[in-house]
Amino acid sequence: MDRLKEYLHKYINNPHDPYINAELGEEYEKIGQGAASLSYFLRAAELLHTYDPEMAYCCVLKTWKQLHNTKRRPDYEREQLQTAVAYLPTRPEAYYHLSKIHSSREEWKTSYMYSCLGLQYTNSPPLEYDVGYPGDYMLIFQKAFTSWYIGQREESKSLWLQLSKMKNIPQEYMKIIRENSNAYKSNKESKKIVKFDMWENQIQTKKEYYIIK
Amino acid sequence: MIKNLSKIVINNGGTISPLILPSELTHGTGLCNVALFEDKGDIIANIRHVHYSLYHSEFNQKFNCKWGVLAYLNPEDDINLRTGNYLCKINPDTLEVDTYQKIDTSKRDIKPVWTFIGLEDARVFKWDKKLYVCGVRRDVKDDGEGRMELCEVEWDGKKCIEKSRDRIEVDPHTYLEKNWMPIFDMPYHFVKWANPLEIVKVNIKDKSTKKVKEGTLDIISSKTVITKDDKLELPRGIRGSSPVVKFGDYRMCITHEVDFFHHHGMKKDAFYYHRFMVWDKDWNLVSLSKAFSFMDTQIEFCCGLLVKGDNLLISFGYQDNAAYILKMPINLLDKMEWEDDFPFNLKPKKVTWHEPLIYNKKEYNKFKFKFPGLKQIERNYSQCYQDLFTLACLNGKTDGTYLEIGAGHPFYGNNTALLSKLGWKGVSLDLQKSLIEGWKNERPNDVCLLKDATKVDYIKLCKDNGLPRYIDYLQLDIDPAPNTFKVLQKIPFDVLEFGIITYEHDFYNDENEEWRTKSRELLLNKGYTIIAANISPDKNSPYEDWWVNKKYLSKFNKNIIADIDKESLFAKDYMING
Repeated sequence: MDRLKEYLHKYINNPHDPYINAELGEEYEKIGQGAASLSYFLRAAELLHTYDPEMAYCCVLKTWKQLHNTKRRPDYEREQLQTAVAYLPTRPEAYYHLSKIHSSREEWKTSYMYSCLGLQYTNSPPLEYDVGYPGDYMLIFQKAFTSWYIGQREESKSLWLQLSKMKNIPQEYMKIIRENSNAYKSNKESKKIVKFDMWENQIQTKKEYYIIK
Repeated sequence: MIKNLSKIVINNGGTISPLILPSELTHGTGLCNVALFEDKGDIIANIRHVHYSLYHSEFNQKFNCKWGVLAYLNPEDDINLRTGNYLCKINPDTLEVDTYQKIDTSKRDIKPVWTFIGLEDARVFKWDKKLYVCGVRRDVKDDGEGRMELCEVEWDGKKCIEKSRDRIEVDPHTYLEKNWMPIFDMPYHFVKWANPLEIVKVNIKDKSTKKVKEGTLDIISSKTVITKDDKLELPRGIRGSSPVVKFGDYRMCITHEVDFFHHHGMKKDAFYYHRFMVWDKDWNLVSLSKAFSFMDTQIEFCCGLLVKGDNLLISFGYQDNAAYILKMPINLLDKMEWEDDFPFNLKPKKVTWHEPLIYNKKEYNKFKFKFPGLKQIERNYSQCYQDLFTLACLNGKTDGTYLEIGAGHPFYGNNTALLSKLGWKGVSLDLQKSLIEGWKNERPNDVCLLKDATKVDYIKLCKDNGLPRYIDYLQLDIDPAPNTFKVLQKIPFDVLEFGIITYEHDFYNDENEEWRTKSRELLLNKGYTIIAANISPDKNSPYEDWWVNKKYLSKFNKNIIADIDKESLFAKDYMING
């Protein structure tokens, strides 16, 4: 509460400073007050629109994140990501989340497309705030995952292999990557579905991924 | 117009506190429109929880959502806009939520048939020892007809249950009744309209029932008991907001008004404003503030007002997404802007507070009294350039000394913040503890002491804090003007000398025109001469004189031009070329 009050005072003394608006939004997010956080991040995005596109984009993604945490608003979520892409199409984060939304709906082609779009913009400088983007490897992961479903199995295989050689991938993701890589090596034709449970980075919601061995 | 009342409040001894309920209860959706009530010393709040987040894109409105720049983001599997209410006890020191309990309305609820569900913008109060919440409900008829509902609540700390729910009927029939302002000290009376005044009384004994589609409603009647004909011509209609509370021999409330416009998507958008309104015991309107905003945002709504000691507690919602309590020292009402032609004695003659006139680097070429180092100064902090005037007189001195009497906020409108940043040393005094705490955090290397400036031994103070007998800058500004003069009399000018003095006489607000004259006589007699007389933050509020020590005149910046003949010297005109 002390930090929240500190930033609230800063905001009151300068309500048109976008960076202070964003800091206040971040403090509200930390205590789960998504609606308040959304208000301040949206103000920040508006104030930054013309002169700090990366930060404005980050703030729009933060508004998406509040809706994501609130739950039960999938269309608003998707459209907020589309707003971010429309504003700054040269960053990977919104594409990644869009890819995830569509893969969770088993819309494999669309999900694959978004992972491909995102992969054009890897190695972008990190954003100021956490927007639930674990790293570029997750775009490869999404592409590996969805390419299998759209029939691009050789591509899928090579991507799992590529991922298995990458460093600094969290253990739980690496486990899935290795199992898939091994599955390809052992039995390409198996049709058994194996369910993996994964914890998303930063966001404490359980997601299920279905990978065919 | 004051666009940011909270800024004035927190920089003048007040505080603000966010009101939070755990996100496990709310899923992080909006908390807003808090009502306040004092019960046996406890501060009780009703917090409105909405099951949506309001999406409101301000400024250039570039980032619209699916429904445009203004939309309720409700759950997509539930199109209704639901409201729940939490009764809370507020910690009197921190103004944070101590305990909370959701009002259980299940015994009285009938199946809703309209999209706005629940009791909205409920005010909380006690009448005849019974605890009530009263707000508007629109969910019982399929056309959304809204009526104020008076609901008795039983709250024992463990559970909070709605005991009764009476829908207040009106005659003649209307579609929507909302924002009636309960009069705390007049049971069962509400200010239904504030301009012109209409007070209604509900008759809780005149009960009936009415069948509606999904159940039966308990109805009580109401009738108008007081009206006034003197309607004020104002740009927007005045609507109810806070309850009406006793304020000495007067009654006070906060009203709201809405300035609608169509944004570029051709849908409706709005700015909300509020006003203080004061009546005498006979319900004659005696004072009306000009419209103001709380936190410089478009959508704000106040449901709570309490007089607590020397402070007003004001609660409001921010964009339906956040809730705050503002603790406003009552004397800050003097800093509000007020409509003319009302007799209430708290109303000052003229506007008494202005946002600081901030210099920024871009104005360098227009700055009249350039001095070494000005180019490197990004901005200043004083209300009317006092810091830059001092530096200008002293040719940009970087190792000066100051005595600041009436320190105020460490930065906002402060006269020594810039000097300190440049390397000056000094002592500041203020009487308000909350301001001293602010200094500890924000200017930890500077000395700001909690002292009554009228009772200080200034020779000892300077000695104890390592200040020399000659001090470059003396600031004198402790409200009200008689006290500032009292301090001026107390300063031993035969022992301590000052280079520059900025003295606040508040002439614009001095009915007897006494304190400016007295201060001038004294300082002239002590060997000082006025360089800038009747400095004003606008065109017509003379409040300060700026002095220099005649003895050191030859050492001061020769470019400084004296301006002593104007009745009101707008500081910006004096310091900056138009």
